[in-house]
Amino acid sequence: MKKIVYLLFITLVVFSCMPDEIPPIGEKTNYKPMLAGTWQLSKFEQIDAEAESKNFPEFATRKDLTNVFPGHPYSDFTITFKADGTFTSAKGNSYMQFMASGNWALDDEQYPSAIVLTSGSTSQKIALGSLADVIVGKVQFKEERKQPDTGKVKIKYVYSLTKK
Amino acid sequence: MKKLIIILTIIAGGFGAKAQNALPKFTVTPSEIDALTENVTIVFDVTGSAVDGLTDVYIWAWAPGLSPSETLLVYDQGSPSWGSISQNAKLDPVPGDPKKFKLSLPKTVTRNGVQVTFNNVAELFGVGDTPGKIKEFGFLLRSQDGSKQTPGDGATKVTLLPLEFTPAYFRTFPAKVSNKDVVTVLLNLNLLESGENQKLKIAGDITVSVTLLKANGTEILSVENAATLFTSQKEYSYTFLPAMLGAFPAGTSLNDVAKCHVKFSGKVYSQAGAAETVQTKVFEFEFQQYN
Repeated sequence: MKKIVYLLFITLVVFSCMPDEIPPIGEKTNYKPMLAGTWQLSKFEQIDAEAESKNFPEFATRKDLTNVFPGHPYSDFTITFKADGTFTSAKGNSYMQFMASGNWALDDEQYPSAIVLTSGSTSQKIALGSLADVIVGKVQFKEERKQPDTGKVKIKYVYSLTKK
Repeated sequence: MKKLIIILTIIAGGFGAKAQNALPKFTVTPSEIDALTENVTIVFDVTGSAVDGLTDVYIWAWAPGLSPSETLLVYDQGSPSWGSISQNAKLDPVPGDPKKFKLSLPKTVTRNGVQVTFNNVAELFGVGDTPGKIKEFGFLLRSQDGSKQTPGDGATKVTLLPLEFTPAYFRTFPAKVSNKDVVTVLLNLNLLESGENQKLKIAGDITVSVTLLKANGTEILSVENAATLFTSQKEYSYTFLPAMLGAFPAGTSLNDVAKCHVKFSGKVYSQAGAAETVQTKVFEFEFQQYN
């Protein structure tokens, strides 16, 4: 009887030490439907990457360009991603340089890091910032300007957009 | 007599041991460097140190606060290991002086089968993109197998100048910019240079003229007396996009724009109310080529 109790105890200890199976967290997020819709630029920033790397003060590191050109606010810019895979953009009075229309796709459906715009033989890859806020109607596009010989990022542009 | 010999032997041994514990002397050229200074040479004099007499001397260097803290010279891949130091950490001999060795930047090495060039101290520690993270680095000199080494308690270290923003009479933002980028030019009259018209200190209505030029200095287009903004940093600023600065003359385009001239103007008024225009010198900067 005593042996049976020991055996049961050992069995209980062994099983209690087995790792729990990690339950599925949920469905993988499908960002494409979330990105569909019209997005308006709310903030446009320029970052001196070298100054940023040196921890220079804010005024020497980044500049808000949203309304820097009177009569030509970057906030005029809108882009509409349609569910059928086409897009249109409107720069309004801004100096924004974007393809006006064409097709859009994510570079990776599961783990997107960029939106690829194509129109005929022309294509434009727009890096995406964190997609955590897409669900609340916010997204960031990023553009990097690099030194050709070293590949070092010298200037960054951050486009913050809000869903209309 | 025997006791005396033993005492003398102990004393001599003590001095000998002390000599072998001597710190290596080192000279950094230029004498003051920051994490991004290029063309740096450190010459080590190992006389009297634990590695005195070795023909192959290796450096083991580390920067507090980094992870891993060791320089990329000491390991080729994975993580640093005291027992298997990379050949990349071997110091170069100084010709004609067997007790001196040197580390010179730029230094090109092969790491994990790939050729890499370290141009500055930040790159030596793998923080070339975030040089602000490294403030100093300590080092010791050692044999390849690690059986001989100089003290590693931080007694030998190189302190780097802080990377600080230096206000300037004239600057651009970004500091280096291409002709396809948004450019801001800034004038700080609090830092007015001695060769300038000192009346600029009291000038008002500051405007700016911007001229785009070809590489050979030929003017392409210019904007005269554009209004400036006075910033929270007490600088007069003007922002422009070279492509939108004005109409490009026939036969020219943005691709021809290689440099830029900037001149600020202001007005000072006499007691009688007469206005006098005062101007800065012409500032010139070149556009970079960025992708």
